[in-house]
Amino acid sequence: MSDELTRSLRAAFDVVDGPILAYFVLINSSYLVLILCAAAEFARHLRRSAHSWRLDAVSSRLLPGVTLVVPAYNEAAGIVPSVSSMLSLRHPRHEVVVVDDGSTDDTFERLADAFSLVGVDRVVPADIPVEGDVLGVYVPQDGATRLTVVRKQNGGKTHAVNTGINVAAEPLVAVVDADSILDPDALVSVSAPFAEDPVRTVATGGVIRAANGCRVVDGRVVEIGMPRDWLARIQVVEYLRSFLLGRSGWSRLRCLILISGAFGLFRRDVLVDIGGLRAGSIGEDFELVMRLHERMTRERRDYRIEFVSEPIAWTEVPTSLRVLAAQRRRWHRGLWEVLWSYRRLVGNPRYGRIGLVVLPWFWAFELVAPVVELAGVVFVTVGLAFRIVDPGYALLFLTLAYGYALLVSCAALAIEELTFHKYSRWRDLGLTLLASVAENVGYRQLTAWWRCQGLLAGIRRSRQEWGTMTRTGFDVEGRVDEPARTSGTPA
Amino acid sequence: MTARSLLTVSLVAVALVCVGLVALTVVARVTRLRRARRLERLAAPHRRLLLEVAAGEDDDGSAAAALAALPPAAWRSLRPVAVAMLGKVRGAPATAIVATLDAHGEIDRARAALGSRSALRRANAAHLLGIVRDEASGPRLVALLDDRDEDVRVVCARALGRIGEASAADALLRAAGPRAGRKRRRSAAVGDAVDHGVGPAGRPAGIPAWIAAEALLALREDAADTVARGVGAPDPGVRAVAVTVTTHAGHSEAVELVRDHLPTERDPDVLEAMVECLGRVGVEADAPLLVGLTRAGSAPGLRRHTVRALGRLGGPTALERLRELLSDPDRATAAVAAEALLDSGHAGVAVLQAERLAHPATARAVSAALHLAGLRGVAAVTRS
Amino acid sequence: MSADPTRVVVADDDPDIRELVTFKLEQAGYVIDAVEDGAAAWETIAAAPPRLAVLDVMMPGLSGLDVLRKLREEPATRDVPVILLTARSRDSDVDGGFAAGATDYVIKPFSPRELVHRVSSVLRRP
Repeated sequence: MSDELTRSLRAAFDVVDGPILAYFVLINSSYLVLILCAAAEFARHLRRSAHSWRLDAVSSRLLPGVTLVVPAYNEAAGIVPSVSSMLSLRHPRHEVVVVDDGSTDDTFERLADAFSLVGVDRVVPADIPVEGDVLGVYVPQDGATRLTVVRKQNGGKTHAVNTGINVAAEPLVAVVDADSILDPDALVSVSAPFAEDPVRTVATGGVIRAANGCRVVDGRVVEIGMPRDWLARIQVVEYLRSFLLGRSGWSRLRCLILISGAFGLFRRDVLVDIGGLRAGSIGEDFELVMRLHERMTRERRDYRIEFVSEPIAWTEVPTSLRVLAAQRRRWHRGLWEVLWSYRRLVGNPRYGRIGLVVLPWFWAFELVAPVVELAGVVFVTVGLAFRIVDPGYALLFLTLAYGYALLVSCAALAIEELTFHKYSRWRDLGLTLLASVAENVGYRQLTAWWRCQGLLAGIRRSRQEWGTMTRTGFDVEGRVDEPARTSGTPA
Repeated sequence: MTARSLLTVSLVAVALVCVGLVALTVVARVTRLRRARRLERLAAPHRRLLLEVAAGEDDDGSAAAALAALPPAAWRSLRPVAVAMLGKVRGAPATAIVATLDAHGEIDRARAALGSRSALRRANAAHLLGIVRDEASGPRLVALLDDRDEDVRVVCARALGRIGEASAADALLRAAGPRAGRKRRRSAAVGDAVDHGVGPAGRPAGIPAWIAAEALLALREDAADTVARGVGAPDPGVRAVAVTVTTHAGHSEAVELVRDHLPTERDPDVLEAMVECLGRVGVEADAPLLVGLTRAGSAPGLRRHTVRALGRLGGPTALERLRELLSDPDRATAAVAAEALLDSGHAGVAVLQAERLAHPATARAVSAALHLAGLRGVAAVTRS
Repeated sequence: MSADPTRVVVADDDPDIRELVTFKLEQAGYVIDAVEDGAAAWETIAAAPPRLAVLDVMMPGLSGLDVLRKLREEPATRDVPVILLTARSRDSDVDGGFAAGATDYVIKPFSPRELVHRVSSVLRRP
């Protein structure tokens, strides 16, 4: 080992040692603040539940109708129970539109069989331009069940959703993944903000939790439990912390910029107005909400995008490292693409908190986080090996990066216990605690690595795009082996 | 602070907070489970009494008397079930449950809590008074439609709807009115107890249109006069609510006013509500009013909406216009027109059949509609 | 047909209502099989057709309407009278219920006494 190398390493260390620690203190503290905001939001929500009128909402004549748009690609295994359970959600006026995106399995045949579908020669309005021909529109033979199935040529999820929006007959459109399991009250709760403030509310999002380990009967979660394997258990904690508390926190601060593709509700006219989901976007649900914010601000509209913490959509999370890796790469690549294409909003006071707080936060603490985390880990490891970093510093790094992160998870678990307490068994409580410890050993570093890969892929892609200046579709992403399409990044 | 002490402090702090949070979680769970068990133990012996009352099986009133005589702790455990039952049954059992609540002083307490400083207590009180249909609280609930807390305003509107006295109609309609920049004012009914005026930052006072309409529709007595006045109100929010209520309640005077105002209406939401209104409660003679809105220049949403309304109206003018629309260049509108013809019954289906023979160019939309007619066959025939 | 001439199946996912309807009908002399969702209702009715079924419309999984349609398709259960109990009060909902083959329709909030009268009048029909 040359002295020169040691010296330059030491010089580098002297520059970054402080900033790295400061970064982790900041990122974890900001999470903690978000979670405390979420706790305030939950407390408000629970207090209000004493005087809410759920039975009235169901019998209401005026509650706006909802169309559930369900894009389906090779979903034969679960499509029939999913659709039945969606048809029987509690809501006075809702219909289900399934868009079969050129499935190569018998998705359509199973639906046709279960619901006695017959073809109707209906013209699908082209309110949103869509690629891929519509092959046929089918309705149940009884003429009463509010189900429409559209078969189209394969064209990717975005086009499938846009086709569904075109077919939708109700003023609100819920975009729901075929493998999401919705709680019976989900639709009433998530459409409540539209009823309470019909003029300003343009979109609402619901909570996503991990369905692994729960007992599911007829497309409905009947018993909540922790999954058997550790990979899924860790994701349960992660979803709780990020999807439930993180987003509620942002919603409380009135700056929610991400609604999961697994369960979001939108005004149909607004969706049509902004041209639906953008084809070729990887983080298409994130992109949609950003576009909503941009459009509403530009038109100087007073609008609300809300997160509803109560209704629950459950989704199966990946249990193999390979699938998880693909999911996280895709999420991070989507995050990069959206942040990059909306970079002009950053720091722009016209976009209020979105431009001044949320987007800068996402750049600093979501997009860059995996890079800093990996760099920190590598730096400390190498430093220890070369005896540049003293064990005290390494321990401090671990404390602030991972110990503090564990603290944030513990806070999330405590809030879950104080508010919704969905996991009723003591054993499950113990497991969530263990999982939040285990998360820090290996899981965080692996996901950071995958996220870096996704970021790199995204940057490469953008470079190519600048060359051609066209946004040709890259819907080549295989969807078969990616069960959880719940998009987005944590928080 | 030296590096060493920094390490010690942060390590100890993080560890302590983690342990504290875990302890909090465990304690929260233990307390919650204990409390639930205790409540259940207290409630269990008396549930049957409540069932007897709720089912109307308490002919001699002994169960009601026993419920009224429950000690406070037992009553508290049973109260949530009793309140929930009130939303599920009606008739004599509901009256009996209200009497039980009254016997335990719940109604008096709620009346007093309307003046509470806590918004949550005001809202909960208004909710309970609505559930028990406490007519005496009507005027105070009306005053609280101006409360500074949005939840309180909404709960009061719903409660007023449930109580159902028409005297609340004016206030309900007004509360749906101009929302931003509402001036501070004071209501004589409640006096100083409540601080009225604009809501906290960014939350204009007033109640959502939907809530107002729902409450107006729930009124037991006739609110026709108020609604009719609302149709001509200067504020579009009020107009939209009044028209929506007219659509569902069908007050003839208000429908007449909708006819008068439709040609001059500018607000798109109100216009759509008016079209919906005439489509549902109008008569064949209203068709000419709507035909103009189906011209190619109209906003696509409004246009299709109007086409559907024409189908519901029926009559020669509507059917003729729908027939023309079958060959509209916008195929989606043509398809909606075909379905609208289908909705208008035998006469519409006859138009479709004639059109299929005469104009093969319009065949697709027409044959799709006729196909649907075949599917709905049984239902369509029995209904017409 | 069922051996017990007074057996009624009650399906509602709201425990309060289930308990209440069960209690009221038992007081009126019926034997009740209470279940909490549509799938269980279908299985119970198909296994041994009762004299009558009271079905909530909005139940998770299979809705009351789904159960009703399935019943009407099976020869063994085609003639079981069904009373729908529901918070959906719009005309189109009521029409839909009768179109699917409901014998009667009771809207929540309901009067337990009225429900018993309707049950007995349905059972009196030839």
